Amino acid sequence: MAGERASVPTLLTPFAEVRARRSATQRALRMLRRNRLGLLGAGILSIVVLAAILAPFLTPYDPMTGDITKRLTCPVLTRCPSFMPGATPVRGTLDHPLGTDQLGRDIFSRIVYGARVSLIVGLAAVLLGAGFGSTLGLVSGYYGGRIDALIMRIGELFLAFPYLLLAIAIVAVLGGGLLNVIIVLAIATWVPYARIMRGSVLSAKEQEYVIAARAIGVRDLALLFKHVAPNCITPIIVFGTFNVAAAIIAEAGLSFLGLGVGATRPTWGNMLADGRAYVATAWWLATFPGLAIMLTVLSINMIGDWLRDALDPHLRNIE
Amino acid sequence: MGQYILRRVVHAFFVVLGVVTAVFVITNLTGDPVQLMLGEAATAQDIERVRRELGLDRPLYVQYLNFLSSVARGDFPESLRYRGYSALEIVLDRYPRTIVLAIAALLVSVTLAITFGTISAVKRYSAIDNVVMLLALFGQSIPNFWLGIMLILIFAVNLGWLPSQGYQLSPAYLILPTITLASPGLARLTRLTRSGMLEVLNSDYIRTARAKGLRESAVIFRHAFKNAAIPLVTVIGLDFGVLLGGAIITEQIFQWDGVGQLLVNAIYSRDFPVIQASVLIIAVSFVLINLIVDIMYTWLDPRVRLT
Repeated sequence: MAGERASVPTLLTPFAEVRARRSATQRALRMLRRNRLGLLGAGILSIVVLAAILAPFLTPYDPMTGDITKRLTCPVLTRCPSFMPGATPVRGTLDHPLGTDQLGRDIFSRIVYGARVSLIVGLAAVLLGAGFGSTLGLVSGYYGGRIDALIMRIGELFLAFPYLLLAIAIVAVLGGGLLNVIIVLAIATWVPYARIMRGSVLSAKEQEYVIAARAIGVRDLALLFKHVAPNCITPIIVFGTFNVAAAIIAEAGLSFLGLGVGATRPTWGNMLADGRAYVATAWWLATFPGLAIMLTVLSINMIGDWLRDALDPHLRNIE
Repeated sequence: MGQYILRRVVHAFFVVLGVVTAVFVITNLTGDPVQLMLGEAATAQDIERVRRELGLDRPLYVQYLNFLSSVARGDFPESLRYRGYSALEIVLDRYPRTIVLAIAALLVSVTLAITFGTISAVKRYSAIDNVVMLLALFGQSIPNFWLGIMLILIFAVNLGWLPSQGYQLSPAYLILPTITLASPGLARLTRLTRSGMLEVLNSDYIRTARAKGLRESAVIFRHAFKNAAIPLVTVIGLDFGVLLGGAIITEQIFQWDGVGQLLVNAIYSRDFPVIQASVLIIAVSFVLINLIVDIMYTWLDPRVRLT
């Protein structure tokens, strides 16, 4: 819709200059107020982030220790399937609003703590991958020549592996664990950042402010990081936002396969894997962690859509 | 055109060579896979013996050259789990099952995405467009392994309509894994079809087609769709890689014993030759599919040949 509004010009043209003076942040915030889905996404994500930070205060139970006598208690308001014939039917209570798992651990507490792992992995993997990839892209685009060719060829090689396959192959060798999963997901995703950055740098390089900076003797490194990079960062931010969502799904996938951060922490992927085994008897084990992943990823994708429209209209057709 | 194709083929050859090298590097990241393979309980003699058997006592460049030559000859080491079979044999035995699943998912996602994406673009901002776009947003956000489990819960456990797991070449066994594998690509492709169609529908030649009085269906299918489809071909090629990767998890959920499940089980049992062979086969087929897509592209869009 924004596009249509922009195509009604003439009368509005005198205001264009005033509008251009607003910073990118101001523009983005203005668009957010107009974009309801983006606002909804920001709202959901804030709740998830707050829950992750305040986990110890929100959860009545330890996420790692369970009460085996209360195993497979069903969620509140539902009737528990009776595992022994003839037993009196039991109903779920508010003690365990989302029920308990096969070891009697409280599912709500585990989901809240699981948010920590998902958010940390998603954010850290993207920061690492984006930092590494954009630095290489910056160097590649700015210097060109052999360095450029080398970096781009290596990048092509990484793209020859399906994302998840590469991650699984590296984890298979290095082993799981929080840090390894972050590194692996960063390694598996640096290439698009490098390519985006390289493209932006190639066009920025020819612009007057770069030529001017070079003319007054600004050194290469300062020129790259102080002048060129900030002007090329917008598409990286947009792509990175979507990638946080992808990294959260990938982490859950690795954990689901038992190749993730390990069983010493509650993660949404681990919980799903447990739930898969009990799908015929206890539906709530797999249902709630999946909902948590979906809501989080959905909210990040909504924010990504909004950022893309607000910061970088050119990107609308990519992705 | 012949020259362009030749260039792509040579290029793909070097990428495959790179993939083989990468697999070699990855499997040597820890320096010594033997300890990993045999586990904690292995004695020093066992480790020494296996190391000699696999040629791991030789210098790294000799190992690399040996690896290259054995890959070129298709002569892989024996699987550690299934004694007596070469790793490649086992992988190739399972591979058709993964391909069946991936192709089924590709067909479903491409057909539905093009249908709904086109409808959405033609009826822009209508109720159906909003519903399709909302579904696509959800589809992109639902982890497909969770979707798979939910499908089992609904259609196998509660309704009892479909089998919950297992490999059999029948529609009943294929339906749930196919939907599971297809869903993320379907959502993405629907959005892309819509935006591609919107772009084309706004172009001058479409206005011309309408102005000369063509029926709307002819405008959309004969004129607009053909051009909107071109960029989709590349995405479909890339999506095939996502499908091959996604198949690893989907096969695990549904106990569909293709290469994906083989790979995961090989990782659990530290069957290194099989890990190498399956990673290699999946990655090489991804390269080949993209080569085919590139070549198809020259046929669809003659402008590519000139660049």
